Amino acid sequence: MERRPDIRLDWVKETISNPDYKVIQIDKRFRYWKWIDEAQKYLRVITLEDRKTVHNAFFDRGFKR
Amino acid sequence: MKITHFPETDSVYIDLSDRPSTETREVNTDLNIDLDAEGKLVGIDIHGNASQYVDLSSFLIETVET
Repeated sequence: MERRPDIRLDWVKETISNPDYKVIQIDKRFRYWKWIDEAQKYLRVITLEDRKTVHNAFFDRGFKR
Repeated sequence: MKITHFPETDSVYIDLSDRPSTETREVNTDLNIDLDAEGKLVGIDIHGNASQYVDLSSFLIETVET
């Protein structure tokens, strides 16, 4: 996250709690996407199996619902 | 350059510079690259199955003199 200062922690939390779309990965991690108005991009957040521990977060240019 | 290994999640982050990332591009399910505002590479994010991509048992930097 420190490498990506444009991504705000509240956006990450909101993406997990209220995603536009989510899927479970093969490795049991969860992917969540949410449109972030301020950034005009989709944010993808990946959590571990517990659905709480944030593993990664980045703006996903390639996401299409 | 800094290489950070996260054994619990089998992940590796390679910092190539101190410049912040403004864009992340997904190469595949396990691999992202981070670019700065000028599009220059600043980091390599192997955020899944890193042990399949990287031999973490040894590390070598070699400078070839021409």
